[in-house]
Amino acid sequence: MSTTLSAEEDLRHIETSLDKLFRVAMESLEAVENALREAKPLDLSANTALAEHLKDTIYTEALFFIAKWQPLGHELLYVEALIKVSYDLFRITRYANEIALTISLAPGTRIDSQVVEVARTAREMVERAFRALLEKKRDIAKNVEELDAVIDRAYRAALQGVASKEQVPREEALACIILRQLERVADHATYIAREVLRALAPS
Amino acid sequence: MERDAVRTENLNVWIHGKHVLKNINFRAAVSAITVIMGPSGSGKSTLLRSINRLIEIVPGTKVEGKVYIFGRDIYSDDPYRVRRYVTMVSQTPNPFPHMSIYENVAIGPKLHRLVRSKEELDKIVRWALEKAMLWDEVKDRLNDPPTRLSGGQQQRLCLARALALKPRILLLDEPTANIDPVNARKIEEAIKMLVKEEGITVIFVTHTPAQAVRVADFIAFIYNGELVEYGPAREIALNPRHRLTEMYLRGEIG
Repeated sequence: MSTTLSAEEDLRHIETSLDKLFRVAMESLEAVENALREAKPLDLSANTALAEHLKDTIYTEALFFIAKWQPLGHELLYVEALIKVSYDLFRITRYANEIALTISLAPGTRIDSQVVEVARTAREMVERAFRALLEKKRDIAKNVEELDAVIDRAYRAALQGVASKEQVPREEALACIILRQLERVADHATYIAREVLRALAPS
Repeated sequence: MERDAVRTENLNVWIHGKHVLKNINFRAAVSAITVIMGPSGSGKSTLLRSINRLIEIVPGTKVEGKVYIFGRDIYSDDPYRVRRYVTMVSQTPNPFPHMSIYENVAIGPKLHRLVRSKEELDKIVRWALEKAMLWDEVKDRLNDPPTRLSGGQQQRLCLARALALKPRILLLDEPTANIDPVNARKIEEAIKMLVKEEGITVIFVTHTPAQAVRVADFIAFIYNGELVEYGPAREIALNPRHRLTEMYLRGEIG
């Protein structure tokens, strides 16, 4: 039976579901990095479906938590943050799936190693943003916001490169599309970091 | 094996000719908290009292239908035997004022001859007081009269008294209605622990939707003597199927 003793216990259940979703997102981003490095096709549709299911579960659990315990103040903001972060992690998993589809359209195409570096940075941003949430650390969250600028610059540079040419090689076009998707991953990591800064009680 | 600790079949109750419960088909799952929620006068307490046959001592009462406890029809059983394993805590704390705190808890096991020695009795009294989250507050004054306790402590003493019979089913009739919020939370916590650790089945009456959602595994909504809706607390709180349930949760009827 599902009897829980306290609001803390119910909150831990939601955090456990969110942690599962985080692992799915991270696994997807790691798979993308490897696929880019090795120019191999990739299918992440199962991860996307699982991420959506977990996101929906977290929505229901969080809504029920609010109905059951009627939190106020920073506890309420924190529950709202868990809902928003679940959406961000779901979107991150979907962008990883988009990248997988892009790679699979042109199997064997070697993508610039700089793109792999950006993918690694984006993954680290997600990892740090989530750690900031769980450990309730403002400094880690701020660091994520700073990294977002690095990814934005890489994407703009690639975009300018494509825009300045009459004819664009396939590798470069794919790299630009993938960088755009990685830029969105980084944006969602930044949203998570901002939620941490907003929802944490003043220390 | 019975999945339901309590099940009623077309239960009807009349009090002085008034039809108070109408064809109630209620159930309470084993080792779970089922909350009976509804406004004052809807029949919640009557349903609770039908489950331990206390309703029969109300003058002018007529009961029809079946009440099964672990598959057994309790209206073909001895009511005193039923009340041995289906115990109850009522809304107003009602410890026996002429007995000590210790005796209030010990009286049940003594009368029902559940213990053979003073050591066994001491053990059961301590267990019940611990489970009611009262032991630490009274362990050094067990011989005091219960009137020296606060209202919330008296209610927890009544909970300990009900637990001392080692019931399989615990009925709680608005047990926190007349006590302060801190003691109310303690009682809620104690009840959840009992379900989790001892596997007791709890049926809890309240008229407060917030408390129902906070405490329940399952909620039965009763209105005007009818069982309007029954389901897991999450379903009732987030997605009630009946318009009356929705209105009650929103405080629009009461």
